[in-house]
Amino acid sequence: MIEVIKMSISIPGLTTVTIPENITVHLGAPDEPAANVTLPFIDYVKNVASSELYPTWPEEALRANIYAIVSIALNRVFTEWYRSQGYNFDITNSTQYDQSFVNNRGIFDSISNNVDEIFNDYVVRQGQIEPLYATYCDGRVSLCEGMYQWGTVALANEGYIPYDILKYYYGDNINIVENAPVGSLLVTYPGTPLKLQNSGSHVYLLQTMLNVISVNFPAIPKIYPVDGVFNSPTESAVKEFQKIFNLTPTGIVDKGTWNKIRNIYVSVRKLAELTSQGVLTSEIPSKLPLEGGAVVPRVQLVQYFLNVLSAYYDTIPTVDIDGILGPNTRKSLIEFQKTMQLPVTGILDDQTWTTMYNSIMGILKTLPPSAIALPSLIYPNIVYSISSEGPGVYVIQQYLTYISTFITDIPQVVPNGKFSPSTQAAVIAFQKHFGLTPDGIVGKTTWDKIVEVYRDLKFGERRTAGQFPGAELGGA
Amino acid sequence: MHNNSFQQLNSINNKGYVILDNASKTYRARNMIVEKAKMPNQNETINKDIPASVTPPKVSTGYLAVGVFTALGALPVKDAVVTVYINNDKGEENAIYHLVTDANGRIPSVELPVKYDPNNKLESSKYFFSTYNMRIQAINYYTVNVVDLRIFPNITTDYSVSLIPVMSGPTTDHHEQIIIIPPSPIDKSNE
Repeated sequence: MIEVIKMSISIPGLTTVTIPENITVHLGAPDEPAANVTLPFIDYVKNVASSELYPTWPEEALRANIYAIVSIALNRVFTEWYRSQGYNFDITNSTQYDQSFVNNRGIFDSISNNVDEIFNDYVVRQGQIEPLYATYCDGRVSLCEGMYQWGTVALANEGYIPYDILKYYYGDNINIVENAPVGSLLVTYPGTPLKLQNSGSHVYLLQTMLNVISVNFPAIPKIYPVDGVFNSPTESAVKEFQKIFNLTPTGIVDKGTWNKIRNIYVSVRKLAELTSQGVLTSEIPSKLPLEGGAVVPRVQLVQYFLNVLSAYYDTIPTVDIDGILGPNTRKSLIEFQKTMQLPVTGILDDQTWTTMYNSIMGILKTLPPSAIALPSLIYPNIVYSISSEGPGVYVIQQYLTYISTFITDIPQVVPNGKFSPSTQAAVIAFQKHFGLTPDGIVGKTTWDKIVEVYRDLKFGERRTAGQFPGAELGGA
Repeated sequence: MHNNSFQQLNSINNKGYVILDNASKTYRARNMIVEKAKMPNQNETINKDIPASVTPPKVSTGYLAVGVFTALGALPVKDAVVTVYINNDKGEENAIYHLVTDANGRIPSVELPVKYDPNNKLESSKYFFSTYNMRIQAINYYTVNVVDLRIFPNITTDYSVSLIPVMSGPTTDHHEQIIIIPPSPIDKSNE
């Protein structure tokens, strides 16, 4: 019988072994210039297992190997093996140093199903906290002091269970830690599958997540009301989700389905936050601190663009929109340049800006206009008028395009970053409509008014009369 | 579960299986940007001229599942064309399926033959696979090419393909994605 510690190991204030939500993989040897890819930990394990193992191996052999793969990855994360040496990744895909990983590869179902069940289980030496660096090799061509991959197949065929296979190679003094907590702001898997007639906060969260996902995936029926009761509509939504993401459509939310729902929910919400909500004005400091980095007028927009790009490229990290060209923005900029195969300067040079701008324009083309929204950008201290070009003009045009769908006396403009006569006409119409001097020039007053109107129309940040009965507009 | 509603090629040339070291070959993919006029017909089965009599003996079946998304899975891509190719002995691609994604970005599961190739040193009679190529094309997105994807007997290989929107303005072809599935580290010891 397998000996299992049914708890995570935690020493308050000292250390906790948690499963990271994401892991960053360097696509090369440590010192080799290569891209870093950040992806959900569970997807990383599926990828490595699909790269290292044959899916037609016996299940017991697959599971023994998956335990080892998880343990190695967690060991690298827990000990900060690479990060403590100054690298900005958790693990490499070099088999000379770590384990195989092939970015964007296909995943085998037999491996996926097993990883879903044990991706947060790992091997430890008894009495130790850190996940075991569970060395393995093929055992035929190369030998090592660890597990032989082909040996696991032979042992599985002899009837060994995964734990016994692991003990065969790593010694009797090992345990398997099961269900380690997954580090996340979101609630982790409840421990047992969710199904019809269950109820509670996990079901409530499940319903909420599925409804958010259904915005982008129309085949998933809406669950209403969201009441925390696992009813028939919830089951239908779960089944449809499982079909879309190639899971067995059981209608039961097991660990694999739960984590897939959570990962997709995070992606959908991230995109929604970037394209539908933008950034609240209050999140942008009115006075930009001068210390810690140069303040560049375009930086806010660049940061926003980097965040949009990060929703499409797993190699580009997100940044805070603070208007400061600090280390994090520069790091993201460098990753963008690497991704686009540009000279890696860390500087927003013309080539980098053009590539970024064109990439964003391409992305916007694939999104429905109603889903596009820019953040509330503070005035960049540039006066825009006829013949101006650049990101500020693009922002003005995007704002006005949206506004013109509500206020029809403002002519529509095509956002292209060039302050053309049609842009000027739209600006003048806007200024007239809102009682500003109709000079066709966008200075601070016009800029702020455009942003304000846009935000009002897009998100209803200000209440309108009758919207909330009993609340007085403008009242204290 | 794996019944395919689309007719597969009536046969596959038994010389058409990918041979050793295909993974290292240069892949010259084109079709970076798909224009509507050039898009294949929906759910088209092609290469109908291959005679039925050359169906290889003792062929197992594996399956390919594909979901096409963008924004790292946040949005499905509808009407993307997924073409599955098999390589002939000259290293040329023969398309065997054209399938089009639905509103959820999925195509029906694809059945593919899997045959042990004794000439392939990466395979053994017990643990074998066949390799295929796949191309995913959608309007306004860069094409994705997957080279030497592996299909094992009775196993579904699932691809979640994340498409990148085409940049506006002048484009260069280096943004097309080519995903080459390399040999597994255990291939050398597959006896």
